[in-house]
Amino acid sequence: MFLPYYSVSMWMKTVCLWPGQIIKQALYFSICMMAFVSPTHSVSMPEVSFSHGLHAISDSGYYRLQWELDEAKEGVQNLQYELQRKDLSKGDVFKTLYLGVEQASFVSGLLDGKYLFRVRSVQNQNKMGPWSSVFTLTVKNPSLVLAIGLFALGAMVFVATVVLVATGVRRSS
Amino acid sequence: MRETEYLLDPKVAGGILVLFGLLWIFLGHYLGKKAKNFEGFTVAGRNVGLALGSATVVATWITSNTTMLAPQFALQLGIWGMLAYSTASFGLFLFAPLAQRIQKLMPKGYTSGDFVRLRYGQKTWFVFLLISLFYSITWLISMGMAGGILLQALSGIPYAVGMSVILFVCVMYTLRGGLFAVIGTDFIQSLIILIGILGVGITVIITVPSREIYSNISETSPGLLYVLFPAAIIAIFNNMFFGIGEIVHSNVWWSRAFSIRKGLGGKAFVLGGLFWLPVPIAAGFIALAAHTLGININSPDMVGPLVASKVLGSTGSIVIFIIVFASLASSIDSLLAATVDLLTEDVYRKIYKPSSTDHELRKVSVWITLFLGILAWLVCLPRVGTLASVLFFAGPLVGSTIWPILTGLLWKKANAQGAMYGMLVGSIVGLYAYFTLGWYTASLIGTAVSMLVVLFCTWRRPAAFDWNQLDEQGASLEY
Repeated sequence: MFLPYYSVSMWMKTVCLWPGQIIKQALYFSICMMAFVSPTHSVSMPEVSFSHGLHAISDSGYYRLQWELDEAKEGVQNLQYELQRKDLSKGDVFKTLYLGVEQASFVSGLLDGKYLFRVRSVQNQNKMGPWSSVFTLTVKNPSLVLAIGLFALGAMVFVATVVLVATGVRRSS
Repeated sequence: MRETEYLLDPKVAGGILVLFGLLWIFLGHYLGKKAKNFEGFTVAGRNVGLALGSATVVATWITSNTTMLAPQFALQLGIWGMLAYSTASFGLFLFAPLAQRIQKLMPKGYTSGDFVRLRYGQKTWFVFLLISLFYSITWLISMGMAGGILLQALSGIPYAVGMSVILFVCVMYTLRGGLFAVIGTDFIQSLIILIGILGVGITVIITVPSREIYSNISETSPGLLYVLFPAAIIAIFNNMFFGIGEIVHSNVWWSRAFSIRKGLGGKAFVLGGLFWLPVPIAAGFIALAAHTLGININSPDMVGPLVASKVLGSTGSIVIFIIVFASLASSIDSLLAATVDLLTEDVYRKIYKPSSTDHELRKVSVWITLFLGILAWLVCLPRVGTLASVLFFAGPLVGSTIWPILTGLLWKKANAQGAMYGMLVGSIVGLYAYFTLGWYTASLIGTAVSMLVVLFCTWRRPAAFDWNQLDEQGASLEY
């Protein structure tokens, strides 16, 4: 709750009738000004941090990112979060992946490399909190040799199974 | 923490749950009047036609996994993941000629356990029963848990309420009508699921230009389009063998082979496979459109409902809720019925009381249905998250049954040692691969090892099996 600065000034001019009340009015004015100024300043926006540490390794190219507020958000309306990603292998800059109210996001289809993520709170799309510490995701998919080897093994077992059924059914009928 | 937002109002969701729950129970009660004896209860009188036969194959194979996990596969593994999931239909195609052969070899058979016992003897049968019961019961429990979790995630209905309602409804109509009720309700459930999923998929295709989807994925998730994406390449055959293993060994599918009218089994499975094939592709495509639609994926298994809700609004949420309820019911009832058959026929009749009468078996099957329902409810109630993941261990176990079952059905030379050691060694090595190489290798390695063991044992000591031994009740064989 706060009063606009203009209203407070007018109130001082008209209501301030005797010296004994000047201190009270000065105190009230200060409180009003503090309340008035604080929400517009980005530093007062709640800080956000990743809830799963700052480093992780994925061997499948996907990961579920989660974050949380470092402090209570009472009094901050329309709070959203902005998630950004930077792909180090591309020499990329941070790009926004998500802007919304949820506190988790699933990223997938990541090729081998290092990916940096950061998140911050946003209010009414124009007041931003500070960026969180950067979370580093190292993606190391299974080796392609292993993948192709297992694919070939699977293909052989599959062909053998189909041949078994086809020849077996033909012979028995 | 932000307040949770649900796709569907809990009151609307509750109304749908009550409405469809009552519909399934009524249909089960009505259709189940035909289940007067044990044969009616377990194999629906062996007289199911092509339409009902195909529909039950489709409905049973569309589990909550198909509607929720297929989009997740596409989101995690891309185009290959989508195709990998659809390879589960190969199991249905492969089983089609086998269904014909099963009907010929065992005209009076009841369960897959019957086959293994008669073909390979008691030791192999015991190993098979352990694998099959582990698979069936963990699947049943994981489906019950998935039901509660999904209904809560979609609508906010408390987990315990959603899970209890689903289990109660399925137990009620399976109890009354056995496989008659299961197949009858499957027909309607399959229609709802197919129309719903294809409808959502087509709407997404019309709403979101594929060029936009392509450029968006190329930018944010290039691996999903990468033809040599390692995890996806490995997943293709692993997923396929998990699916084939489930179908080839499980009594869910054998009971359908026994129940479909003679001569129609093969056609019903091929048609079922053809109808099923586009479902994971449509569901997967829905997931790939998520980023382009500006949807944040909070939890990958919820991508399907989120996209449906975005493109179809509240109608989409209702459609998805009904699809999820139908797919859960169609799989839980089938599992319940098939596991009851396995326990009644293979454990009660064959181990405990071989002299039991038809009337007695019918009564026992009712008690076992109730027992399984209560057991599943009690295990599901505490919602132990790690329990559902136990089902993934079943991959190498069921994969290791493929070659023992197939060679047992098709080769006179296949022997009991090969089948038993194939299942045991395949399961153990597959589980080892699960923990050392990764979950995406376990079913494939379990199947490959089991195949080698079966081939080696058959080569070393070929049997000369008499097919007439499979006809336990003396019906004449035509082959």
